[in-house]
Amino acid sequence: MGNKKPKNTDKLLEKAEKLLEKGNYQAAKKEFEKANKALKSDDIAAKIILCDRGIEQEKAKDLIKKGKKSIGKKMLKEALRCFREAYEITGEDWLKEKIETLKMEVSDKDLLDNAEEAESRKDYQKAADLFKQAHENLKDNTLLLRMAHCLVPAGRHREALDIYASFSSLNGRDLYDYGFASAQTGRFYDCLQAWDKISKTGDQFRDQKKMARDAMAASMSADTDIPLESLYEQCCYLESHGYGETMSPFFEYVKRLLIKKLWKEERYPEIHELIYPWGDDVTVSQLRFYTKLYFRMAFDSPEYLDYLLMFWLTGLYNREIFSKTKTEGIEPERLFDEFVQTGENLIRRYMDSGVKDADNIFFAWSAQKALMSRIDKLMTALNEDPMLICTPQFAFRFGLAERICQIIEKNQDRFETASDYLETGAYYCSFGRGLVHLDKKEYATAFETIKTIEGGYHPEFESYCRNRIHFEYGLHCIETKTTPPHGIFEAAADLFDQAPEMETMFIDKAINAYEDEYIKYFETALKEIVDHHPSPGVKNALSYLMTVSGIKQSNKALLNLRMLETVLMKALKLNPENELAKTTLEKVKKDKEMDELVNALDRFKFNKAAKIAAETENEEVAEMFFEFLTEQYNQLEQADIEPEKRILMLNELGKWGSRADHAHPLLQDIHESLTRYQQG
Amino acid sequence: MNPYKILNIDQNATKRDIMAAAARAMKDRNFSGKDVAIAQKKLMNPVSKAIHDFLYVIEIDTSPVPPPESAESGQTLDFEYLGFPDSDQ
Repeated sequence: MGNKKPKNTDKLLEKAEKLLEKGNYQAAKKEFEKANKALKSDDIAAKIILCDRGIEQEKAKDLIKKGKKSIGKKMLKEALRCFREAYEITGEDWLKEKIETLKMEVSDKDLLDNAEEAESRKDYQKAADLFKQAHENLKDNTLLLRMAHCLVPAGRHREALDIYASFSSLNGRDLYDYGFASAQTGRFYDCLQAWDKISKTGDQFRDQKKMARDAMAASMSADTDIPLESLYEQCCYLESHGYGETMSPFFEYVKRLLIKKLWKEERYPEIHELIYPWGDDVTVSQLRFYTKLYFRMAFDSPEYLDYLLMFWLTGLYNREIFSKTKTEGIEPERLFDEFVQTGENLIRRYMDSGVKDADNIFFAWSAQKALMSRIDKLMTALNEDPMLICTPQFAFRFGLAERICQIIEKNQDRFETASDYLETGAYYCSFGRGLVHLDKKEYATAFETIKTIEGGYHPEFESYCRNRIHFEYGLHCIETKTTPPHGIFEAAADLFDQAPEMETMFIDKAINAYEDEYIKYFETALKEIVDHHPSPGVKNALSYLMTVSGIKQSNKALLNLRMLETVLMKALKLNPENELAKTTLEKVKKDKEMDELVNALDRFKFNKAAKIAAETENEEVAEMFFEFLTEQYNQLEQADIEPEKRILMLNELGKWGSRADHAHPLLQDIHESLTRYQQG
Repeated sequence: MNPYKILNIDQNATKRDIMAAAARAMKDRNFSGKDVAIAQKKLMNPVSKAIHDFLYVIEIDTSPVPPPESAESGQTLDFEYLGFPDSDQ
């Protein structure tokens, strides 16, 4: 190669090489071609071929990039073209695989496009089949729903329902379709349950729902494979949608069938759910059933003991119910007692096993047993409706309390005592609810309950009730060492008039109080009571507690003798026969005089001391004074002092002594000594 | 435990029926021997039986009441397919 290259071709080649290095094949090729025109070199021709290859690779890269973008834009056919062209250039395996996948996707897309196109033409049969094929290819469950959506208008309801059954929840149009298919296959309740979830309402849709409900109501039958629980649920649905009026007997029938089934299976709480809340009225057969049901429930769980309390005695005392229970050779009275005892044993069982509140239920049971006996006696004598022989809770719940109250009020003479009459009436008056709480030892609840009740119908019973609740709540406060509400025991004044046994009970508790705190509370309570009810019992009890309290406080140096004396005087004013107060007062007086005497002697006020000794009724006080004088006399006798001074002091001793007791033997001794010393 | 269920008898069972049922229940071993014995004892005592009759047996009137209109089961409705209903329809 002896030819000398022109200078500009070198530059061209240099530029071309640089461009090639940078991968700018197109520009590099151009420069190489320019240079080769002049040089006609094989090397340059090879470089041009290299550039061509680079250009092809770039093109393939662009195609792949474009293909990927097309997939993103769901332009599968365009993507397929790009990948095919790229493959022709590069021949890479992965591109071949990608092309195969895309081919299938394009085919599925076509399938979907065809399905959608068929659906838009309302060719639902075809659309459903195409969606089915697409689902088989793509395994996409949303395609199943699209298939079902076409099956419904295509009239293939059962197939659609089979598909919907595989979904746990449906939304929007699927709910409508499911409901529609259900209605078309006679499953009206399923239809309505689905359609009720659709919030949108149009007139046509509302009409369809109404038609579905009508059809459901018309197709109701107990003779069906549907479980009773579901059938009853359907009845409830229709009842809540206004079909109760026409279908009530059937609904009740289904309910009875269900109750019978549940009873057989001993599913008592579920029966309770069916019948609760009870109606406003109750029939004998309902009462019979409730009596049994709530015993069974209370037997299984103590949480139903309140219901046992309400129904058991009511059911047993109802002649129409219990008269059907007969046993040959057993006296009805004995059988009755055994039944009552069965209820009591159940409560005791829970008490024995330490169930909370069982004790309180038992207290209420005991009180209501006595009450029921009285009310039974009254109503039976008057030949009244047996339903009126009931517990207060039952009476309040079923609107019988007022009638019972009126009967009691008109028949006071049939009660053994005024207290029996008042207590019985009180249970059924409007405040009686509080009394029921009281029986269960729910004192605060009882107290709060009557605050919210408006009375005025049976003042006598209401007054007894309020007084009793206030009194027992106050007593409970004392027993739990809580300060009772101020003035609460004023109620006891009337109560003690109405029920003297309450007074006896309270006084008994008061005088047996032993702890300081109890004594203080009882004393305060009695002070509240005594102003309104100054009975001897109350006065005596208060007198006694004041004395005990005063003594205890004095022993603790909380009261001085003067204050104690005042307390005792007051106590004696209430009960002059209070022996404890009397003896204590005597002792207090003596101690007080002793104190005064010692005080006077300490301060050399011998005239005052002599006066105390002279006036005291207590020998010990006078004796103490003379002991002092005797000691002074003895000391004087032994002292070595001048005769005149000794005589003077003996005269003084004699003067003080004679002021206290001129006949005291010490005065004789003093006189003899004086005579002896005066004689020299 | 419900003695009637254990012995598989109803309240009309006589003493002889109760004894036979207890023997059968012992043999069947669906309940423990103790439960069967207690159930038998409860029902052999006339007072206890009266209480259990009262407690376990209910009288519920289940004589059939036909629904106001009867329709063939599986009836269908002839109403128009609305697709997804719109509120303005």
